[in-house]
Amino acid sequence: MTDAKRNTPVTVLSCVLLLAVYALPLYWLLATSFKSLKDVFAGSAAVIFKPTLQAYIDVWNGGFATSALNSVIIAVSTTVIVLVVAVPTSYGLARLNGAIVTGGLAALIILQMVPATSTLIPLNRLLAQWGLTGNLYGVALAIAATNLPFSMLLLRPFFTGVPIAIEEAAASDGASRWQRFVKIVLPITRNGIATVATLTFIGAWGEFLYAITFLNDPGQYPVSALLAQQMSSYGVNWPGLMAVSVLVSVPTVLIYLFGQRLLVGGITMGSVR
Amino acid sequence: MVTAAADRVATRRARQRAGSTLFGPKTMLFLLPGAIYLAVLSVYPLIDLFRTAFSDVTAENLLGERPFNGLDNMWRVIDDPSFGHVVLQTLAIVVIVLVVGLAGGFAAALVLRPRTRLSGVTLGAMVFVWTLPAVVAGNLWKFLLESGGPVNSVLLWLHLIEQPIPWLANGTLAIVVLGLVNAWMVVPFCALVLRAALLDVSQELLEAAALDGAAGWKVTRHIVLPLLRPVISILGVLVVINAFRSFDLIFVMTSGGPGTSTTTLPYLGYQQAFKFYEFGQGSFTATLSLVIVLFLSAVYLRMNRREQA
Repeated sequence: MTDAKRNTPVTVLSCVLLLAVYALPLYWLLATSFKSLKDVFAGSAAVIFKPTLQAYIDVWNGGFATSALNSVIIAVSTTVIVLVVAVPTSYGLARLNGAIVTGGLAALIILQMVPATSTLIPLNRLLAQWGLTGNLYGVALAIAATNLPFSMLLLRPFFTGVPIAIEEAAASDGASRWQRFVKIVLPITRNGIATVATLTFIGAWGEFLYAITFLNDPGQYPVSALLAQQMSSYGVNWPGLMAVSVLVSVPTVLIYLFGQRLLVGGITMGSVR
Repeated sequence: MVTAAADRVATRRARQRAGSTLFGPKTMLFLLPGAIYLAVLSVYPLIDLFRTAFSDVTAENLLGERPFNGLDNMWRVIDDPSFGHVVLQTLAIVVIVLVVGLAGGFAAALVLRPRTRLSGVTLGAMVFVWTLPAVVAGNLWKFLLESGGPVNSVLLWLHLIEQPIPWLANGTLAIVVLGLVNAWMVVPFCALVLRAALLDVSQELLEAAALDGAAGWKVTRHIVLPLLRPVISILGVLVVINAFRSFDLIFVMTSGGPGTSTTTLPYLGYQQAFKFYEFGQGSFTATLSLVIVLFLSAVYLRMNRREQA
């Protein structure tokens, strides 16, 4: 491990091995979604096959648009709730000191680790009492609750990074507490806020446990829930399932393409320091 | 890490200076949205879970009266002959994910340390897998591991096996497979964190060791690993918590089966409540899972604090 710039035969070999383990399955995912049913397990069609959009057409005709809309409603509402709640709270946690903040941060770290399966039973009861089972916004409320601790912990360092001198200057110009927060601090921390929004959206988009538990009618299911229950029109239709998998991954892919560095920096910063 | 700590001290001092005038008690109002939301939708549910764990609750009285029944739920859960197996299976998955995740992550971090094009592409593919929703990863591996699927086909083609292996239909094998797929998803994260830590290890120190005649594995074993110990142990706790909580992969790939051979503690709680409508028993199992996670997070908090001190 002396040469930091050049490839040695060992690293090349290891990289190829890692690529085989990580990239090859992804290739298979994509390839299978473009295969016809008879080509799926045919050895002769492993690499060379006649691509078809049939799986995607079937998925679309199976009412994909409705589920995709459900997914969008759940993911967008969750993101809005998380931002509205987490942004002011993290700012407060960054600017205050003392026992409340220390205790609050410890509580957030602990709440962040609570398994979703543990809050499932009581949240089911709570949402039923509020008449919010069978409601997409009820699902969003629940997902936001599990997501909030992580989002707040991730956001706080961004607010801590805003120099207090800037706020002091604004205050001496007569800006109120709220004006300082909205006009000065929020624009500076937009990267952090964008990171949290993105991660929340991806998380809510892939979530299915709350959806299948709180929604009774499969017509309300988001795509992730359909995929989790492997619902397809005829038995195990692998091209169809892989096509849905590809479509479920679309937001992830977009975000990955445009914001990978942002995400990797933000996440590693928030988790292990 | 050192600079981060210095930053923290600096900001704390600055805050103490300015804080008294600029951020008075009214700043507390900013904390309200989060405090209220989490109190209602996160903390209260956990208290309610605890209450339900010691009550007789089934589908009929889920929303009505919930009479206390003492430790009945506990005895019913523990007396179930499969309970011991479930505990062992949970442990097996956690151990596999921890060992393979950390070792794989460390190996990958070593390999990906040189900043070359190839290592960039490899890291890219790995990070992509890590951001993939678990539903997608679960479906993908279920397909790859089908009896006539790609994994078996390749192994048959290489003459490594005589006949297709039933990866997910054999209980013991299925646990190992679930652990490995879980590790597959967690290795990229470990690699990212450990690679960042490796890049922090001072180059002079390594060169000095090389001058003293230490090379290759020896440097890694006696210098790098001890330096990374704090990061590795914190990462280890995070991996354990994640592996313990893992639900999505099990749901998608095996639904806890065949039989109950891939059911873990959190999954058992889910099944008791939403498959058999024994909400009291499900709550007890979920409380048990919660206590284990709380214990692990206490360990994590302590380690993190020691690391920052």
